[in-house]
Formats: sequence, structure tokens, C-alpha cells
Amino acid sequence: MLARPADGVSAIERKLAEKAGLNPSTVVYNGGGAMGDGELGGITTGDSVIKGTRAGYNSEYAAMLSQSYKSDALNFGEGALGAIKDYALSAREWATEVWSDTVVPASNDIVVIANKADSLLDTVINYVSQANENYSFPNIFSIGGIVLNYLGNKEAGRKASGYGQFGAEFSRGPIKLATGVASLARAAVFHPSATANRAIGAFGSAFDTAVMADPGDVANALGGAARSGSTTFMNAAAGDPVANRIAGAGAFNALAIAVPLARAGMLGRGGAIAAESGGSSLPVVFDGEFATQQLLGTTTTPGGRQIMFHAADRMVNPPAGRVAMTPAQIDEVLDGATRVVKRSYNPMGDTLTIRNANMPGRPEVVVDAATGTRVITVIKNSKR
Amino acid sequence: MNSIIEKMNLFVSGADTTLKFANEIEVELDDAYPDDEFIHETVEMLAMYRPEGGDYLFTAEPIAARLKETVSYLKG
Repeated sequence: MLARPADGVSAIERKLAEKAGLNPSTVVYNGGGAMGDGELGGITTGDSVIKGTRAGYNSEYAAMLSQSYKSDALNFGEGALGAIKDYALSAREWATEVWSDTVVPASNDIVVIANKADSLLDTVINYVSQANENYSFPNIFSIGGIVLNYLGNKEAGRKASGYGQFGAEFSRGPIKLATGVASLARAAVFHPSATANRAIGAFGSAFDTAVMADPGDVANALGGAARSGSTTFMNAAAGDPVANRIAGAGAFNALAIAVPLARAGMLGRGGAIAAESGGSSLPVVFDGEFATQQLLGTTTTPGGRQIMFHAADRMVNPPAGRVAMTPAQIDEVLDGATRVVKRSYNPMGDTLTIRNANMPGRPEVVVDAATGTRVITVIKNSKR
Repeated sequence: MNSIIEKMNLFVSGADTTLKFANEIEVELDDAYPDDEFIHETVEMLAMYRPEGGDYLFTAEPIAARLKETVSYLKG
């Protein structure tokens, strides 16, 4: 649970306040949940704490303040999303601050979503509705159909694909609201129990990783979650009908069981999954092809080589110091190879490292030695 | 060099085995020792690291073992 610092100002709040040019100790933090009390998009915050800052900022700020002031860490949530981009707070910082007893999953950026996401979604929708009426955000209209469908028929909107689509579409919009996290974060952690089912659906479509700790969430999030990019952790007991449904969906790349929240995030190879703690094994087909398609829009290079998910991930989201690669560049490396750097032993089968030193960044592509057509990873230096 | 070694030791100890951290080590090693074959192999392994594993990918355990070797290698 969130431990309040002695002066009552958490590190997150301090950072935010300083960023906003406010004195952390005098800011009146919005304790009510900005998404519920305020409006998204920087129009107002619940307590009007930071009126006047730029649009798109208030909501993040207020939301973060509000969530961080919740006495119940389960309420940590909605507002953290867009702020990931601005403040680049790492998963560990977040989780350490909020769940001091939680081991953060071994992922890149983490977003923690918990309670109140129902109101989040409603607020997002309300915001969009208002935005359509009062503001000129052209791209809003590209998602308006979905939103308006929801507004017109909530039950219809509850259908699985609706929320997943909504989240994905929204994330591509120019306004990085809470759902903007989809394009900012690599993973989401949904806390147990009252985790908002609908939010999972909304966000699930765009995350590489979703961690869902409540089987009920899983059930309700099926549509959206099934669209999630690669990896899904969930806490579902063996034999749980929900688990069966999810397993039957076959859309996840992998599952892990995590109780409590995402302890370490251990996955088995290739989607054969082991329980971490408190859960049971739940084998699910690893759908790397699906995940790759989500990332690249294709699963193969123009030359027909299969791009495995890890490679696709590095192509699209290269580590700092690396640069992105396109599927065509993979072919270029392999077809114009200047050197087979080496053949390496791998428990799954030998791999070959191919380099094309004539290309900028001296890119290397690692492929399986057996066929030479399965692209396992890529390395493209930004400096050479 | 100390910074890289410290980072590798952190990974080996299990204190930070995140993909992001592994990526940092990967790039720093590559930048610091661009022509060293032993280091390059470590770099490649790190480029194939995924905490959750997967086909042809390395989980934290083999990466930690390799980083331990790499630390010894660099310390000569």
C-alpha cells in the first residue's frame, strides 16, 4: 500500500508539482480521482488545482495526484497512464510507490490500472462527446463512431470488440488521454478484485502485456484482452470457467498466473505456462504470429521470411541506442550479408547471426540455422 | 567499465532482470567493446533476452550466467 512520506508529499506528487511549477507542499491534491471528479483533457480537474496549464496536461497531472493520494492503493489507476510519457516514471518507481510489497513484473514500462476504470471509461466517453461538441479535435471523429455507438447503446458497446477497438483507436488519436497509454506503455497491470473490467477491454487491445488478476476481469475483458499484443498474465484458477473461456479464445501469446499482483511475471517457454504463486497452470497457445501482426502489420518480410515476435518488438520498439528496422531491411541484411558472424548453439536449435556491414548501423539479424528464414532478433546500432 | 560491471552484477543478483535493463547493458557493452567477439556474443544473447522466454529466446537464468562470465572476462 501507498506509504505516505513524512511531509505528505509523495515522490510522484513532488515531481508533478515541480513540473507544473507549483510548490509541492502547497498544492491541494485532488484526492477524489480526477477521472471521476474532473474531466479529461485538461479542461478542469476535480479541485481545479492546476487550471490554466496546457490542455492535455491537467488530466494527467490531476489524475496522478488523485490516484497517488488514494488511501487505498487499489485505486491507483487511471490517471497514471498518459503521464508515463511525460514523466517517464519507471515501473519500479510506480509500483514501489504504490505497492511497496509488490515485486514488479519483469517488463519494460508498466502502467498500473485499478479501480474506477468504469468511471474512467465513462469519463473518456463524456469527454469525447464534449470534445466533439465544443472542441476542434478532428481525429476525435475518427473514433467517434465507436464512441457514439457506445453512447447510443451501452449494451452494444459492451460487446467485446467494441472496447478493444475503442482503446486501440483512441490510442492512435492525437490526444493522449488516459487511453493514450496504449501507445506509450508496454504493459499494463490490472490489480485484483475491483479492477475495472471495461477498462481492460478498452486498453487490452493495445498493450503488449496485460496483467489481470481477477478472473472476473478476464471474463469481462475477453474481447479487448484477446486483442492484446503478446502476453497476458492472469490469475485464474485451474478449471475456472473463465480460464477455460480465455484458453479457448486462443488469442493470447502467453499466460502466467500471478497472485498477488504480477509477482515476477514468470512465463514458460512458448506459451506453456507455469503458475507463479497461488495459481495453477493454464496452457494457452502462444500466438506470436498474432502479436507480430499487431506490431508490424505483417508477419513476414517482403522476401517471405517469418518475423518472430521478439524480433518484431525490437524492430518497432528498439532499445535506446538501437534504431528501428523495417521488414524490408531484414531482407536487405540477409540478402546482402557481408558476413555470417557466427553460428550459435541454442537449446531450441542453432542460430545464425548475419551482418550487413554495408548498411547504416551495421545491422545484424539472427535467424534459425535450420531454415534461415525465421527472424529471431535484430540488432541495429544507432551509432555505427 | 565499472558502471557496466555494476549493471551486470545487478542483473546477475536478480535485483533487476527487466528487459529494459538488459537492453541497457546490451547497448553499453556493444558501444564499449564493438570489436570484441566475446562481448559481442554477450550482446547477441542480450538481444535475445525476454524475461518470459520464447522460441530461441533466453530467459534470465542463462543471461545471468553469461553476464557472470562476461564480468569475469572483463576483469581479466
